[in-house]
Amino acid sequence: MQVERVSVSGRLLEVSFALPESGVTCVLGQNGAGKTTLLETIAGLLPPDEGTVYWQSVNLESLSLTEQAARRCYKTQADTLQFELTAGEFLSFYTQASHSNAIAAELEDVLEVRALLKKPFVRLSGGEQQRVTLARTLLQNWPGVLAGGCLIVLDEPLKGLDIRHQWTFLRFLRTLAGYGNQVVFSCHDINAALGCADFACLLKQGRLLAVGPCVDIVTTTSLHNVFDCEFEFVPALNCGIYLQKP
Amino acid sequence: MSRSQRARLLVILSAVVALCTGLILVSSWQGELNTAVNWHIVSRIQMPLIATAIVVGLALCTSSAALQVVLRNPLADPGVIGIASGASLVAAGLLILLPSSLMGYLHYLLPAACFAGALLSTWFIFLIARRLRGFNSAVILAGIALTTIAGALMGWLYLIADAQSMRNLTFWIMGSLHQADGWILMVAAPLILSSFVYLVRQAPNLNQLYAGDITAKSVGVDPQKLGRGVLIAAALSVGCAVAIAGSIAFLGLLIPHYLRLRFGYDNRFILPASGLCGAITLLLVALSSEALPYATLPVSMVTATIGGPLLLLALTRGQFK
Repeated sequence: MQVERVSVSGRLLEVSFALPESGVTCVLGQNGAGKTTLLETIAGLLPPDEGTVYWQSVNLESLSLTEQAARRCYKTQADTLQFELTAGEFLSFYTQASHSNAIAAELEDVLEVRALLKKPFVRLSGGEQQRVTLARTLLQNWPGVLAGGCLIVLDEPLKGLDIRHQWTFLRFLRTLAGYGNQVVFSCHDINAALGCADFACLLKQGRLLAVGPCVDIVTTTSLHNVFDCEFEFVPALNCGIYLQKP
Repeated sequence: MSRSQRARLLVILSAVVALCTGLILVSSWQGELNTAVNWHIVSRIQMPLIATAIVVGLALCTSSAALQVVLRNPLADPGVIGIASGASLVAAGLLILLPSSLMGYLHYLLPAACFAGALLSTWFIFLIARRLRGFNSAVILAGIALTTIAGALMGWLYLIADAQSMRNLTFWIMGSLHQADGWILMVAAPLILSSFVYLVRQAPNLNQLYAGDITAKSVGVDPQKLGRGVLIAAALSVGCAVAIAGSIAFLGLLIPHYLRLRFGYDNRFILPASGLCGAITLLLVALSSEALPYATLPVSMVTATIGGPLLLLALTRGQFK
């Protein structure tokens, strides 16, 4: 994927970068730094005021909504429903194009949504809603995801998930990247994100501070720049974690 | 709900529509009159009545069901978002302000004016909504404002109305299935039926609108285009419905709501089923009018009398518990 001098008035300023065909990328930044705007723009859901986004060297503007939908999965920060449909109905509506309502065993192992299908979506807890939404996102294009070559954009996928589901889901993202998909997600848990991502995108006030392999660009200094607070690197296990200094 | 289940239920509902039609025809056939007179009654009075009940039911309930999804508000109803009130206001203005020399043409002018009123108010809501950018809540709020203004203007019109026009007006505002005649139906029915077909064809896309615009767009549905299409189709069919039967309260709010509580939220079923159930309800109202030979019941009176308490019941039992 390639992003060339993309600007969205008031939210993103001349952002340019390129990502390899497959891999996991995390977007880090403060509240209001432009993470969601960036994700929506690269997913093709928000036309930028200036600049161009390319998927596999194809200009996004030349693809119709349906063509885009066949190559992309997108999860908003939280799907909000005004109607009391059950989680099962919710999933079936967004998978009606792929003509199969069955939940792939692989997804069920990670997200454990089968037990929730009979309940109304709005009555589920925040984390359960998040799991159903993640299942919805991936099922929408599941054959494409399995074949590889899909762009999977997730806006705060970990929000609300308990620690076990967070961990299995992050591992699952690596599996998806292994199929040849490009996964881009935003996250507020730096250590969880870095444990999973190959690349990081650091955003501040609509500007791209740095982009590249996590090991190269994420340091206590760069994190200080992004988040305006001091960090300390604590070596632990086989990598290490960043702790905020009191 | 599987495809075959949906088809079966829709066939059953259509059969009920046919049954009600049959009942009305049978109940109006009077043995003591000769066949020619009976046929005259059937073709001039009963058939327009039945056609009015069916197309108005289809128009109101299907467009409400679709509007509720597009505006993401279970309370959306042509009455609430101002389409019907614009039409009624124009009707009221015409009834009261028309010079007496033109009163002879009133019967023909009124439906056309209603239709224009519905389109005008939809266009107006649309402009305001576009100006306010946010599509969903803006349309509802603009609609409520418009309904309020229309209500206020109608109040002022009452002040200057004479007794006869006031009576006409009340009847119009309460709705009636007996006002339409052949040629108005000839125009309105095809418009209502084609917007019904359009709305039902959009059902799979409407299903993908439940989780919001961005999500809809991410699965390949253009939410703005869909919203615009549904709004225009709804305005067209509701405008026609008000033109032939006056404004009918509550129907569009209640029927989709009940169907969803019982059968789930799949628009591929809910949209056509709402239309058919609306038609059945109005046919039953017409049938009950047959049972009371010396009075024609204003439709809104019946639907609101039964519908209001039922809605309260549904609220205490259903989704807000």
